[in-house]
Amino acid sequence: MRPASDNVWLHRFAVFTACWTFILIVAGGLVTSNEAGLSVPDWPLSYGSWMPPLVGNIRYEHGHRLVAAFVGLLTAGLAIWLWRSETRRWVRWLGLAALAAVVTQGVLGGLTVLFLLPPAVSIGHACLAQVFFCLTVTLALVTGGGWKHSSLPAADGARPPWSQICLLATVAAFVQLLLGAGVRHRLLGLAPHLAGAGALTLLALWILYRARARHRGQPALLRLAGMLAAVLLLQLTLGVGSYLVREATRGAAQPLPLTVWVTVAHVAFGALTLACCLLLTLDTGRLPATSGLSMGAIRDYAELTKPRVIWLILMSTAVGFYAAASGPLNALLLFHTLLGTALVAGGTAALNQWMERTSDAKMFRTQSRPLPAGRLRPARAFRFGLILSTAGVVYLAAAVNLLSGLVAAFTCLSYLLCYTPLKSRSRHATLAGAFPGATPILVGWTAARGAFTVEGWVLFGILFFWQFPHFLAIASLYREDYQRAGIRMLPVVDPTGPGTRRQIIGCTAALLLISAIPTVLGLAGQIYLWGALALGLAFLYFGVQAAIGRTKMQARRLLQASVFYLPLVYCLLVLDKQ
Amino acid sequence: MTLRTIYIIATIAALVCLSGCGKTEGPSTETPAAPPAAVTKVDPATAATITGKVTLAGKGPTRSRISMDAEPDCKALHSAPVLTEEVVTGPNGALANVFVYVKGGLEGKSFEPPAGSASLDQKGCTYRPHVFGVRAGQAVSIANSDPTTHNVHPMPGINREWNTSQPPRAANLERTFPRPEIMIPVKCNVHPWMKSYIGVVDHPFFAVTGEQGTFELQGLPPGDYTVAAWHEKYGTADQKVTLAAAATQAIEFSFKGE
Repeated sequence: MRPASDNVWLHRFAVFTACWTFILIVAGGLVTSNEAGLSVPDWPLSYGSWMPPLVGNIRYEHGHRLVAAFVGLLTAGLAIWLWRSETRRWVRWLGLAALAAVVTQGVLGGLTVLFLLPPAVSIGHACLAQVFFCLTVTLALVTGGGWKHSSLPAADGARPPWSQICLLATVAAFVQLLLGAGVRHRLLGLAPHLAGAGALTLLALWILYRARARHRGQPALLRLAGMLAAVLLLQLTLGVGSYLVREATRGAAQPLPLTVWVTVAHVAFGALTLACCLLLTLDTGRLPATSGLSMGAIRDYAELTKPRVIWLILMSTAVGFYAAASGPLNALLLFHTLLGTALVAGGTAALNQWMERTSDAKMFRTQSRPLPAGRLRPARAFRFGLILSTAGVVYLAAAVNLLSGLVAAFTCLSYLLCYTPLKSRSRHATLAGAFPGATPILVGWTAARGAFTVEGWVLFGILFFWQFPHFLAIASLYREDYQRAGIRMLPVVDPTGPGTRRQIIGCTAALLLISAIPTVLGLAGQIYLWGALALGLAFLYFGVQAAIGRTKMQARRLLQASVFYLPLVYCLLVLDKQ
Repeated sequence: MTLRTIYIIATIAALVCLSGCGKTEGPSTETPAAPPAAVTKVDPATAATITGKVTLAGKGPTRSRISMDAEPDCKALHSAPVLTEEVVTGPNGALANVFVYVKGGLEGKSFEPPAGSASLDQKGCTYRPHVFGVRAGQAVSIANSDPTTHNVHPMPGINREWNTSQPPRAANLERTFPRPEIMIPVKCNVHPWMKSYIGVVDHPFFAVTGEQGTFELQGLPPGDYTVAAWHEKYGTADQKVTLAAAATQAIEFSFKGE
């Protein structure tokens, strides 16, 4: 509470950025509605220059690029400004997240151009646009003095908490935009979008009712709820309008201005609806939680899924999928695969933390996790993990194929029922854990091929052996911590014996050999072979060093080497796929 | 610290992988069909001909006007209103812009490679011609006769898709489609009303109807054939034809309008 330090200009700049993001969404909508997406065939330059001849649809496409570049600069400026002068850590990171989103968005936009508008990428671009808009709107809100200094409104005591309804509406608004993008890019029918509109309307009415019934004393919230209702009403009208106009002009020689503007307005008001829901959620999220979800709880649930580990797992799955795919990449199937895998991985991580909540509490490294820290009730974490992993398996089986669902189920079960209990009982837990640790690549493989093949097992082998030096290095680094929790990994129970040494050297050497097989089997080419051998030799060097020296420093180097080795081998495999 | 490193490297790797995906995406469709067997010689003494007419039963839609108001460069090229070419009819229900070709009966035969290239012009911000045929592997020479920039974007199903810009006075684009495909739509995204359709076949027996609705397929060896007709709005129709030596067989296609 230091009003003097409030940076009014930073807040204004954030608001400015959010407004320009809205303009950018309108500009992007104009590109789609005018069918201008490919009027400039090259990217990042336009017709080989910064300023192409502005005729026909090039005006829309290039205009979109110019506004996007401007918003990119604004976001970079905002991120830097926040990083330097903001005191709240999470706001600083939010600024960086916005920057990452806008950069990714630019790359996605470029991909739509270079790969000739695949619907999956176009829809991804449309959805990330809304995510980015949400980020800039959030930044604009939380940098404001109102957010920082207003006293928290009183709880209304009603159930479900108002913030939960608002959160649900935000999710619904986002899903609704996704469904709308599906209709727009002719991937989906109208029915789901209509159902979404109905659901969102009910939620908005509920929010409005709750605001008027219980929050009369909070004019800001009341005003926001009223605005949501008004924006949504207009949005519904525009939705009907865009449908009617599109039907009436079916068979026209070109996109007509009326169709274009009504449709773009529909997209724009969709974004505004989302922004209203989000602002309400953020504001009401600060109401003292009566029960259930608050913003902090959401963060805890997210932490429970170990997002960074999910990201690593998805990388393996994507590589497996890509290596197994023949012909042009089926982006939609890859998306289903990654989504299903992410759900299973997140659920497994949550269940694992539920099982290990007692031992986690004993380690410095893990005692601040949501369960040991007492921020989340174990029963809830259990339910959350169970639902997530079950949903992921079912999703994989339904949207991809049964086999990949089964592989994912095996991964989850063997990790939880075999590896986790063994950790504190046997020194061979690393071996048991290496199986579920390496199966993500097989999930990807079976998703694309529908069967296990030798090549798939070879990729599995690479990931399998890679884990030993990786996890043994971690265990050496955190030896004391592990000891406290009773985890019986080799470097813990046998810090001086030959076991660790043998395992590190043996597995790194095995890795070197097995990483050559993809070329032998014709999965990858010569570049991969020599690259993988060079990387494997370097990795082996660090492994031998760590095994002989056994200092923390050498263990750290080995860990770093392992962290570089795997993504680089993956890159080689992908780039030199035969 | 280490997790963060993993995270950063993984992100970079993902981006690299993404860019890698695209690179290997295209070429698989580019390999031309198997090299042709011995060229079939058609004896001119027994060569037969299929002639015919395509008609539209009932009324077609009125051709709507293309608005070039927003594009002065294009508008200046026309004194009369420009109409869409989706359904163009002639006297007595004749239907133009129908691609007629031999669909079956030539399996296993291959024919002299074509001489010269087919041409497609961008003139008055329209494609000339609106529908045309080309042999698989034959060059299509694409010209821009307009004082404005176009992009040429064919959207094939089994040939390779591409998208290239062509400024005014630029050299002609020479492109081929290695695989037979009925039909490849071509679009200009700068001027979204511009559409053309290319029929790619692996033999010389194809034609496009004009305003009289007539077509002629000459020089066919005697035998049994399936002849197909394609129209951009009314779809496809085919019929069987038996050709005697040196005969001329007349057939008719009729599409149903409203």
